[in-house]
Amino acid sequence: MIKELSQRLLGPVTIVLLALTIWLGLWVTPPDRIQGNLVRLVYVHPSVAWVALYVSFGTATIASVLYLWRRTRSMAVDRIAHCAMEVSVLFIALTLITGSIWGRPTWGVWWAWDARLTTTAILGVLALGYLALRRANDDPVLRARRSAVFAVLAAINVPIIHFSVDWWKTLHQGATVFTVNGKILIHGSQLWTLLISFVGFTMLFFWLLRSRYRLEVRRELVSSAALNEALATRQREGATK
Amino acid sequence: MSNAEAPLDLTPVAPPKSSSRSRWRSIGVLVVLALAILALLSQGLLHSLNYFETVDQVLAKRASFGTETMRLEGVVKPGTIERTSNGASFVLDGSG
Repeated sequence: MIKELSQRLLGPVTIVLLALTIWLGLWVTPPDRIQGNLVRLVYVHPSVAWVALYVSFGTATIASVLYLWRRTRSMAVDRIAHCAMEVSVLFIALTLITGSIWGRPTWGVWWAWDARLTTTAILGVLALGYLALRRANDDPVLRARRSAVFAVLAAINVPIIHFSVDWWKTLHQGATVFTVNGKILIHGSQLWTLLISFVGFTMLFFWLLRSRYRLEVRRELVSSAALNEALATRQREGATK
Repeated sequence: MSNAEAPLDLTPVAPPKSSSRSRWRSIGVLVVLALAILALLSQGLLHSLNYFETVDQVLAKRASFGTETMRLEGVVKPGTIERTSNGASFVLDGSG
């Protein structure tokens, strides 16, 4: 009952949190001393980046590891990895787009080949590569195994992205919340709004993942039913000859 | 004897070639992926791994820099910007 209730509430709670983020971000929080109203993108860009790098790609990686481990291997975890990676592509694209919108007036350019941006673009290419690899393999078991190995290897890029602003001198600013020394560099209503946006976009990911997963289950059932129907037709044809 | 009573033919058949085809398709995907990543890396990290120099670094290598174009990190001191015929001159504070 709790599971059903939480599944029913996932969508409405996500909408409420995102609406709260929009209200706080646009009307309640103050503009920045230097960036002015441009700073309001801080309530979108870091949150979608958090989901892209850690939540969605992380979910796909963990599900892939679970598939590769014999004890937890199942087509369900493979399905989770696949669906999570699809949603990850969406959030990586949103990260790059919102970052570009923010970069144009602050840096003067839509794009710069600095370490953070380049490695994030590579992550997007890797996520698309995962999906392409799945399409290249018809056998479900082979597809699951190869894509799981690929996802685990691709995840090496995530800590590189995270630490790129510390390892190299980058145009992209350093961490605001998850800093190396633990000091949080944003305060007051901006911090609360940022945290609400993190939770809201995280829940959005799980909402999208659940929807995509259910769609994938239905798609497999339909194709399985179609295959069974085709086999039955063939058997009937064989019996009448 | 009708077809329903005929014995089942259980002779092993050769497996379809789908696994080798999918292996080549997978290799193709990985090759394209590797090329795309190499292209991104060559654009990004080889030229911009360290996106800028600091004032202290430039001062330490002042003799060897010459007229090289560079990206420099620092804060412009207020009131020091002077427009020149080919740009501007200003004082940059790199103490952070």
